[in-house]
Amino acid sequence: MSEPVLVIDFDKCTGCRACEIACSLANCGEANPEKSRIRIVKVNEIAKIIPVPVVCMHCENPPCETVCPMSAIFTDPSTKSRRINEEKCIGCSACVYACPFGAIVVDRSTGYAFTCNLCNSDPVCVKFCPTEALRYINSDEVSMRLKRTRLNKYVDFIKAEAK
Amino acid sequence: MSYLYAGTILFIDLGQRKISMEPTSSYSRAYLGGRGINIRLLYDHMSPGVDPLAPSSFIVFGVGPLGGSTVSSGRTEITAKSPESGILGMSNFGGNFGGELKYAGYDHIVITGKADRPVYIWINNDQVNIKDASKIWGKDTYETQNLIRQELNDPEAKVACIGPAGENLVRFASIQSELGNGAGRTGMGTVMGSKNLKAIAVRGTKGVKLADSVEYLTIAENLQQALRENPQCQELARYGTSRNQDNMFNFIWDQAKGKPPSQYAIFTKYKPKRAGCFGCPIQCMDLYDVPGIGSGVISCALYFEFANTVLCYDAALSLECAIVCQRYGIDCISAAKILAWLMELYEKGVITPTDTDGIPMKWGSRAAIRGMLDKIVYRQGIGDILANGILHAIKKIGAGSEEYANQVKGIPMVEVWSPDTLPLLKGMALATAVSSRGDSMTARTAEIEIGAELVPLGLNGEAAGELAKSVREQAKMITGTEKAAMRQEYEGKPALVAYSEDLAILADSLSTCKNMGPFVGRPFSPEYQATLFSAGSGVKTSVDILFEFAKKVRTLERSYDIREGLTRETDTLPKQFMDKPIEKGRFTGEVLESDKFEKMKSEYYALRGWDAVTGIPTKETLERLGLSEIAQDLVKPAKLT
Repeated sequence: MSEPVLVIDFDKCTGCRACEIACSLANCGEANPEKSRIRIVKVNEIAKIIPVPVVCMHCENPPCETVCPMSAIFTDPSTKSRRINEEKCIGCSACVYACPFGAIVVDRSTGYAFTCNLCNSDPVCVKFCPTEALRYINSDEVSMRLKRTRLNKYVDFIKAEAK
Repeated sequence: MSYLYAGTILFIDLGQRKISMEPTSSYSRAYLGGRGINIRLLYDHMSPGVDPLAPSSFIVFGVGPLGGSTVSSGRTEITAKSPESGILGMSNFGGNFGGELKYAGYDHIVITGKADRPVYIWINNDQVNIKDASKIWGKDTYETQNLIRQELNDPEAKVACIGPAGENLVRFASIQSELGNGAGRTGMGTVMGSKNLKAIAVRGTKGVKLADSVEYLTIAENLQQALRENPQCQELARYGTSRNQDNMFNFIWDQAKGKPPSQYAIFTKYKPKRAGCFGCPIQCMDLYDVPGIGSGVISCALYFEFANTVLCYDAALSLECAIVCQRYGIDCISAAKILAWLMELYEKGVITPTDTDGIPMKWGSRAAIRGMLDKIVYRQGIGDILANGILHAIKKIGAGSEEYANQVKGIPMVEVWSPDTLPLLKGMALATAVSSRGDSMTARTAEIEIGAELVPLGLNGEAAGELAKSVREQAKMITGTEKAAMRQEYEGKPALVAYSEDLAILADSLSTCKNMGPFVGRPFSPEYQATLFSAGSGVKTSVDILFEFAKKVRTLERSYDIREGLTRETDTLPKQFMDKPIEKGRFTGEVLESDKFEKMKSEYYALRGWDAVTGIPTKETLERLGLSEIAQDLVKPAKLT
C-alpha cells in the first residue's frame, strides 16, 4: 500500500517562511523559526539561486536513528516519522551530525533533539505553503509525477527545436 | 513576561557608546507598538527644533506586536525627524529584519549620538556590540549586507543598512534590507548616516511567546487561506505590483503625460520570479536577474518612478535605475521626482543645460536619469544642490521653478500626483495636505476613489466590477455616504481620510502589511488584527479599541508636527493645484476649489478633535486620549524653518 509522503518542489518555493511560523506555532506554541522543524535556507548573494526548504526526509534507513547511543529515536508506526523519546534523549547531537540534511536539531532550551513529526499525518507547513511547494501526497503518485516532469522537459525541448 | 512582545526597548548612544534597556510594557499599553510606540519615544526624547542631523537627534526602529508571528507580518517601522521636511519623518520596510529583531528580544531600538568613526550595531540575542565599519563605509547596500554577514561569519544575520547616499547625507536617503526592502521616504537613511551608523545586523533565536497559540494558529490559518482565495491578492501573487499599478493608475497616467505602455508588458520579458516579505503568502515583489544589469527585487514605486515619472520606457534602463537606487540607498520617489521636475523645467525652457552641468534634461534620456542620479548620490556639481532636497533646489534655481514642483512640505509627492491629476481625487488631495509626514502614502483613499471608477472607465473586466461595488459599500459604511467613494465629491472625504489614516496606523503599529489590508479589497482587516492580537496577547481587544489606539497615535503625531512648527497654512498643496481647471484630457474643466478644500480641512481637523481653525489638538481631546501632559507643548510652537 502506498504511504503519504512530504514532497518538496524547490522550483515553487518563494522563501516566504510561512511554514516556519506555522510549524513553530503548532509544535512549540510560540512563533520561533529557530524551533521550526522545517527551515528555509537562502543564498543571500545570488538572486537566481532558489530558496531551499530543509526538513526531515523521513529516510527509509535513518542515520539519526542508527547512531543514537541511547536508542531515543524511534519510528512512529502511524506516520512513519521519526520521534524522540525525551526520557532517553541526552541531547548529545550525534543525530545532528549524522543527518546529511541538517534536518534534526537539539533544542538548547529543553536539551532534547527535535525533528519533523508530520503533525499526526496533517502537516501544518503544507497548509500554510502558498505555492504548493510543500505537498503531502501518496508516494506512488510522486514517483509517476517525477517521471512525467522528466518527460515534459523533453517535450518542451522538442517543441523549442521545432520552432 | 508579556505575550506577543519581545519585551525590551534597546537604547544605544553611539557617541557615549552606552547601551541601556527599558521594558516595552511601560509603553505598549498606551501606544500598542511599532509606529505608535516609535512616535511616543521620539516625542519624549527629542526636543523640538533640534537639527535632525545633529548628534543629539534620535532615530527609532520599531516592530509591533504581530511582527514576526503571523502571516504578512514582516514590517519594521522607522521614525525620526525628517531631514527632508523638518517635520515628522517615518518610513517602513519589509523582509526578514523585523521578525529577527523580535526573536533577538527587542521590540524597539532607540539610537542617538554620533559615533566618532563609521560603525555598525551587531545584535546577537543578548549581546549588543558596536563594531567598526570603516572597511565597509562607501560600499553599496547589497555589498554591505554580504560583507557584514561574512565578517560576523553568520549567513543568517539580517541586516538593515545605508548606502553611499546616506553616507553623503543626501537628504532623501533610504534604509535598505535584503535585495528589495527599503524604507525610502523622508530621509531616514540620512539620519543614520549623520550618526556614522552604517548598519544594524541582528540575529535572534528566542521567539515570540503567545497567550493562546492554538487559537492564534487557527486565526492565522484562516487569514492565510483568505489571502490566497482573494481575487485581488491572486492578481498580485501572480503578476506582481507592476500589473496592479497598470490597473489602478492607467487612467491617471494617461491624464498626466499621455498614455504609457503597460509596465507589466515592459518588464515581463525579463521573467521575474516571485519574492517578498517574511511569512507572506502573496509575495508581491519581483525578483530579477538580468545579465548586464544584475539581480534585484523590484516592486511598487521602483517600477513607476523610473518608467512613468521620468518617461523612460526602456526596460533595461528603468530596471537598472531601480536596482541602482537600492544599491545607493536613495529614495527612488524623491530622486525620480526631482529628475522629472528638472525635465519639466528643461522642457518649459526655465533651465538650460548650463544649469545642469551640461546635461540636457530630456525626458527619458539616459544621461539625464542615470547620470544625474550619480551626481546626486555623490554630490557632484548640481547634484550637491539637488541632494539637499527639492525645497533647497527651488531656492537655488528660482525663476518660478516652484510652480513645477509637486511637493508638500518638501516631500515630493508619490505616484502620479501632479496639478493634472491630484485635483481629480478630492480625498487624495486632502490626505496629501494633512499627512503627518508630508506624503499621501499614510492615507490610501486613492484605492477607493479610483476603485469606484474602474468600471465606468471600462478597465479590468469582472474583477473591477466587484471592486467598484465593494468600495462604494465600504465608503458608505465608513462615512455614511456612498458619495465619499466618488472622486469628484467633497462630501464624506474628511471621514474617509481619517479612517484610512487609522487603518495605516494600525498596520504600521502592529507590523502587518498595509498592502494586504482592506482598502484594496484585501483581507488583512482590523478584525483579523484584533482577533490575532487578542489571542496572542491574552488581552481581549476589540476593533473599536484598536481604532482608539490609532486615533491617539495620530493626535500624538500631529502634536509632534505642531511642536516642530507645522500650522494650518502649511497643511496645503502648492498653488498650481488650486482653483486651476484642468486643461487637457477627458477630465478637462475639473478643478480643486480652494474654499471647498479649506472646508474639508476644517472638517477633518474637527473630526480628529483638533481645533477646526488652527488644526492644533484641543485640550479636551488630549485629555480624553490620555495625553494631557503634552498640552503645554502646543501653546507656543516653534516656527517651521
